[in-house]
Amino acid sequence: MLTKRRGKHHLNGQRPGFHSRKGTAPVSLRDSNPILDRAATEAILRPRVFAPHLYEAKLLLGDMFREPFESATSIATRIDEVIADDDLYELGEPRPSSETVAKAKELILSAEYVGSKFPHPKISVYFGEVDITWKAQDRLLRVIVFPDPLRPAALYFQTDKGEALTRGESVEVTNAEDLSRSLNWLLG
Amino acid sequence: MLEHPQQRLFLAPETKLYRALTSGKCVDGEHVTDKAFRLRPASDQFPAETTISVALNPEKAMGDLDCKGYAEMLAGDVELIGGLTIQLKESDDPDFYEIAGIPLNDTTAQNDYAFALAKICGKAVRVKKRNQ
Repeated sequence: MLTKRRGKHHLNGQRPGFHSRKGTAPVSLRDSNPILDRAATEAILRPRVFAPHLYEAKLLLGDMFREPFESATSIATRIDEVIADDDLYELGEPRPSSETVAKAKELILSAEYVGSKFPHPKISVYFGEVDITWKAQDRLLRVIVFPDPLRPAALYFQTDKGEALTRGESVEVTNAEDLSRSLNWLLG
Repeated sequence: MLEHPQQRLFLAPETKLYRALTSGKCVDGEHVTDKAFRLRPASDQFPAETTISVALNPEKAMGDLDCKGYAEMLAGDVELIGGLTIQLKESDDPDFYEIAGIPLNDTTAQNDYAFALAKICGKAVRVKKRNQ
């Protein structure tokens, strides 16, 4: 049984591509190998960087089983995680200020307070800006919180009709109901 | 040699253009995100970007930048996006181009164009970091 499994999956009993540096003896998975150990650890700690395909698969599988909505608290936590991710920044790129982050969280928490439900958003940064983006069918909604503390946050939304350029619209966020209404639009 | 470097060149529609993916926010799994095509605001070191830099091969697109990888698109697809033109960059190297026409100081339009450009890209091609 074991031999059969080996014969099926491994060429001549060796895992393809899993050889020692000299290219002769296969590396046993039971042997301690500091390079492999470190790679495995990094892949677990930073899956998006070190194992992008696994990360993508995890996201896809996760999408199949997770709840359709995410709480404001969970989104706020993810905002913190995204802000802290060094991988997202270019050399010398400013991070969002604590005021910008607080404003983004406040918007989400306020919208939940007035009854909004949030699909799972993508959270990103851009030179001090925080973006929270939802997609549903052909619709896209993005909350943009700018680095300038005096500039009101904006809601950008578009409906993709398959054209080369989809013209979206933006409105300033004046209160929690603005985001709430936009989420209702997003979910149709 | 062109008399006016900014003069628009008529690249064949099937010409491949490459854009550097300068950080993790430009890539989501194997997809290129809109962040790869946003104009950078002014900083202490650089003035605000007014065009999107591209090159005719990946190596020149990435240059000395510590990139995550690069995105590939066709010149013909870029020019189908209303308002955008491809221009030869003001440089000694004829392999550098820039995508012009994105309105400055217009958040809505910048998002529109960033999403449109991300949509025409093939899968993100990742490269190893230079310092590894």
